[in-house]
Amino acid sequence: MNDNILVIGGGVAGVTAALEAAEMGRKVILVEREPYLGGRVIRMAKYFPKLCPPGCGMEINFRRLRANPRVTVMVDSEAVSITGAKGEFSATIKTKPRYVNEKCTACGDCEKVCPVERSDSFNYGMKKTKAVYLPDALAMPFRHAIDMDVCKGPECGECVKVCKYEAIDLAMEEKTTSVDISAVVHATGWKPYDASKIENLGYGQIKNVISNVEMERLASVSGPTAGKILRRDNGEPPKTVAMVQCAGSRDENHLPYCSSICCLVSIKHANYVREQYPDSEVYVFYIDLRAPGKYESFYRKAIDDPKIHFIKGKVARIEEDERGRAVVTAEDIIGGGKKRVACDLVVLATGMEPESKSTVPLLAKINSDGFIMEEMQGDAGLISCGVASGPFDVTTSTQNSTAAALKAVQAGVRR
Amino acid sequence: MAMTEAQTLTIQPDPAFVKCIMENGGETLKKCFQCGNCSVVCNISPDVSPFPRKEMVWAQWGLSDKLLGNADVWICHGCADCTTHCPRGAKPGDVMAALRNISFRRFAGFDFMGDLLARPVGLFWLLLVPIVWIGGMVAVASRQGFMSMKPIVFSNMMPVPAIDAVFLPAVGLAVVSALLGLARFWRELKANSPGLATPPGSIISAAFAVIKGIALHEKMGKCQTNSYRFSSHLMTMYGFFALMATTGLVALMYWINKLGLGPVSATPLALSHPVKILGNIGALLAVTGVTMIVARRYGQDGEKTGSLVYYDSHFIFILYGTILTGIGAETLRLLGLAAPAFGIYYVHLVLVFTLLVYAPFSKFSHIMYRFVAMTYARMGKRERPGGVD
Repeated sequence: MNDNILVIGGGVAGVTAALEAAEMGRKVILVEREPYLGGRVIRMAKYFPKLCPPGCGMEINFRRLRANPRVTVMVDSEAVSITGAKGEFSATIKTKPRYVNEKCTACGDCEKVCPVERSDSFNYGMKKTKAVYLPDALAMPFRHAIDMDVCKGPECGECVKVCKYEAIDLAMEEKTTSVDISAVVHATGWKPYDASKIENLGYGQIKNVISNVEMERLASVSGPTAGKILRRDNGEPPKTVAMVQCAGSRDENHLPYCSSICCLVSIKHANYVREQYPDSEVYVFYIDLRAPGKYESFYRKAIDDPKIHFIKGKVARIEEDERGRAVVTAEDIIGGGKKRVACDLVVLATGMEPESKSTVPLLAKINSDGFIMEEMQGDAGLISCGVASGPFDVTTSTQNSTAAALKAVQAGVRR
Repeated sequence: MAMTEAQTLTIQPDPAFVKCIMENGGETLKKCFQCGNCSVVCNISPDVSPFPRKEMVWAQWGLSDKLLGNADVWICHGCADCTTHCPRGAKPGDVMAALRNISFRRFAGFDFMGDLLARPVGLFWLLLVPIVWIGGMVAVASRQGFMSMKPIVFSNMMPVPAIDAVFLPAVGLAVVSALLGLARFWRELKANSPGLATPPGSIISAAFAVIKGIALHEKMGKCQTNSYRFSSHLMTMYGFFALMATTGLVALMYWINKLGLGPVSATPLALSHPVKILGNIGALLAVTGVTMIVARRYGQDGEKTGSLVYYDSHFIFILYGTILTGIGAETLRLLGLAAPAFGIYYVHLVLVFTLLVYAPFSKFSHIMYRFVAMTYARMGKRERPGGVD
C-alpha cells in the first residue's frame, strides 16, 4: 500500500497535476516521452489566455518543480505497462538512453563539432539541428540530447572529446524502472491532425500552405525564422495571409468533433501577422466562429480591424499559382459566390487529435474520438486531464489538471 | 451581384415538401450545416451563386418553387463529389437527385402516372398496358402460322403497321406530356432561377453549345468520385441514339417500299447492311455502358454513386431489359430458334413501350429537362467565371 501517483505526460496538464499533487504532500512520478517538459504549450509563440510567451507560465511551473523534492521527473521515458487496481497499481517505465548525463551545462561545444544534422521535431521539421542538440532554449531539463537515429556513434566521438564536463556517454543503455502507485493520471495530450490527409488543401505539396502549429514556431523567437513570419518558398514577408478553419475538424472524414480552440488560435495568428506587417491583409475562412465566454472580446477586437476579413465558407480547394502563391477557394456564403484569394501564406487550422487515439492508454478507456473517458474511471484510480480528456484550451486544461490531482490524491486515501 | 441571402427575407417553410425530398432519396438533408464545402469541391458548380449549398438550405426550408424552378438542379450531373467530401454526411448529391426525381412528377402532369412510376407496385399496371395492347395486336394482325415460317421474320408476328398502330399514338401521347412538362418547367425557370444575365443570349446558340457539351460529355468528364460515368454514360447514350436511328431508318425503309418510292432492302436486313451494322454497334455500346452502370451502382462501390431510389432502378432495368431482349431476339433469330425468338421479341416490344411511352414520367426524361435547363442557364451566361482577389 502506498499513495504515490504516476502522471503520464509532461505537458502543461501533466506538470500541473504533478505539482498540485506533490504540493498536497504526495510523491509523484512524472513521465515524459520527449527529452524535455512542456509538451505542445512550450512550442507556442504565445498562448491563451493572456497572450504571454510560454516561458512566462511554464517558467513558474518549472521553478515549482525544481523546488519540490516529491516530484521525480523522468524524461525520455514511457510507461509501458500498468497492472493492478486502484491503490495498488504497479507500473513499468522504460527510459531511452539520452547519451547525455546530468553533468551537461548546455554550453553547446558538442554542437559545434557534431558532423551530422537531424530534422528538428521541436520545430515541426522546419529547421535542422545537429545530432547532439538542445531541444529548446527553455528546455527543462536544460541539457543536450543525442538523436541516435542519425548519430555516427563512438567511431565519430567528436562530441565526447570536446565535452569538458564528461557529460556525454555514447554507451548509455535503456533503463527499466518499476514503481508502485495508487493512481494514474493520463495527461498524454494531443498532436496536430495530419493536414496532408486533407487532400484538397495541398498541405505538403504547396510550400506556402502551413499548419497552425507551424505558424506558432514561425512566430516564436526561438523558431526557425527567429520570430519573423515569412513565406516558406522565398522567405519574403507575406502581404496576404489566409487562415483556413476546420482543416480536418468537424468533418466525418477526418476529426468529427470541434477542436474548440482553433478559431481563437487563428484570430491570434491574424494578430501576429497584423502586428508584424501593418499593410498586410488577413482572411479568416470559417464555418462558424467559436469564441466562448471571455474570448468574445478577443474576437470583437479582430472584427474591428479593417484588414482582417472574416469570410463565412469552408475552404475546399487550395491551388498553387505561377508565383508560388496559394489560391484559396471557398463559397462566400454571406457575400455570395465563390471567393478566390491568392495568398502568400495559408495557415491550416488543424485540430487536436488526442495522443490516446493512436497510443492506446494503459488500462483507461477511450471514446470514439480517442479521448480518454473520465467518467466512472476516476473511482478506479484512472484519471485523465488536459487534452487527453477533451479538446481544451490551456486555461481549462490547467483547471481540470488541478481537479485531476485531487482525484488522484483521493484514490490513495479512500480505500 | 450579391445573393439574396444577405437581404431580409420572409420565408414560409414547407415541412411537407421537406418530407417529400427526404422520401425521394434526400433523407440526409437535415445533416447539412451550411459550410459550403460542396459548392467548391464540385468541378462544375459555377462561381456565381454556386450549387449545391444553397439548394441544401432551401431543401431544409422546403422552398419548392426555388428548388424546382432551378436550372442548377439539372446542371448537377450527380457525380457525388460533393457527397464524398461532405464533412457531415449530408449527401448533397442525393438531395439534388431527389429534386430531379420530384421534378419528373411535378412537371409532367397526370399525377396518376407519377404515382405509378414512384413505386414498384405501379410497374404491374405499367406493364399490363403494353402486354395487353401488343398481345392483342399480335392476335389480330400476325400472319397465320408465323411461328413455323422460315426464315424467322419478326414482322410476320407483328407487322409494321401493327407496330405503328401501337407506338405512334402512344409515343404521340408521351410527346404531348413531355412538351407540357417542358413548358411548365420553362415557366418555372423564368420565374425562379437565380444569377442569370440580362438580356439573355440567343436560345439557338445556347442550345448548340449545350448539344456540343453533351456530345463530348464535358461535364461528366470532370467527375472524380464516379469517373466511370464518363465512359459508361457516353456509351449508353450513343448506343441508345444509334438504336433509335436504326429503328427510324428501318421504318423509313419500310414505308419507302410500301409507297413504291423505290426498292430498298426489307427486314430482316443482312448483317453486312449499313443500317444493321449501325444497330449492332449501338446495341454493343449500350449493353456495355448499362452493364458498367449496373455493376457500379449495384456492386460493392455502389454507395459512392449515391443512394439508389426506385426511380433509378426502374429506369436502369427497363433500359437494360430493352437492350438485352433486343440483342436476345436478334441472336435467337439468327440461330433459327423460332419460339424463343418470337417470345423474347414480344417482351422486347413490351419493354420498348414501357421505356418510351412512360419516359416523360420516369428518369428517362432527364434527357429533356437537363437539355432545357442547361440551355436556359447558357442563355443566362450562368457559368461566367469569377475573379481572384
